[in-house]
Amino acid sequence: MEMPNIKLQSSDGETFEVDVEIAKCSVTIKTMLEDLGMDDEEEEVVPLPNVNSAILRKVIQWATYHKDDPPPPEDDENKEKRTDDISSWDADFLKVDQGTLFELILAANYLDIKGLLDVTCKTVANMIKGKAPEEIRKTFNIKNDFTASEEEQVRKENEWCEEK
Amino acid sequence: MFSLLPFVLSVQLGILPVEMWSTIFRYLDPKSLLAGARSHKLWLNVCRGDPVLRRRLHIALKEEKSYLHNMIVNPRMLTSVSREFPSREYGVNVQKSISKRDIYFSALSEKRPPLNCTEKRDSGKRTNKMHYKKRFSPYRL
Repeated sequence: MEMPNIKLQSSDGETFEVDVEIAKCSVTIKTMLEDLGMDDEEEEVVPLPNVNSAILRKVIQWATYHKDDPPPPEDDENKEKRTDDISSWDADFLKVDQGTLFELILAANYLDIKGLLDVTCKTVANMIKGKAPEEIRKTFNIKNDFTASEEEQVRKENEWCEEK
Repeated sequence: MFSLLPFVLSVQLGILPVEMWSTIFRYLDPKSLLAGARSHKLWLNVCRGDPVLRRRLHIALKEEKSYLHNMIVNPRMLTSVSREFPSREYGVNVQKSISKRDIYFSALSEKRPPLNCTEKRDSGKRTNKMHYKKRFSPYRL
């Protein structure tokens, strides 16, 4: 039995044809299809105005690899989560520059793909983990935007934390 | 809640909205969170605005505060002394070098000495007492 296909259109007009099952990784698309209903004969084109073609291609690549995964468990937001349980395929998949990584997070958030969002956020968290402020600035190529007096204040004072 | 955010963000960090940053920061342990909050204004404001992160920062700051306090109470934690030759008689042909440790970063790094240092003053007192008794016991008898 052949799986029905669905067409996804990126922001720059490129269309991608993917299995419906793979597209349903994304809760946004899944909800949309359920609400609208889908006819077998009709050609469905889903426009995704927030995602460009390069990122959409990566997202589809990820979803195709992870289509048989069990749904991720609900997590407790008060608990500190692990960041070292990224699979090696995901680690290779996410060896991209920071801009692409951030755009993948945005796309995963927009398309509501929890697995991809988790793994990308973990990757960024790993870039911050265990570093001193100066090293973090170097990693993200950002300037120190604290003035000297502000920095001194931030460094030692915790009055804003104790007001509750 | 996020009214303190600067309007002009750096290009790279500005790509992600604030709630994405707070999602990312929830993956961090308190110490890294503190370092992150100290590295950029945007992140500091993100951490201030998120109740969970705020609580964690509070824990991290408390921990660091007690650590720094311990350093002041216990000056040996602050300096590391190295002698050229380990000898029994101090000060005889021994070069001593005392270097100051970087408090700020050592407080954040992984390898740090345990908080409860075993050194206590009363142990010295006790030995003195013992000495005293030993010395004067013959007279008492």
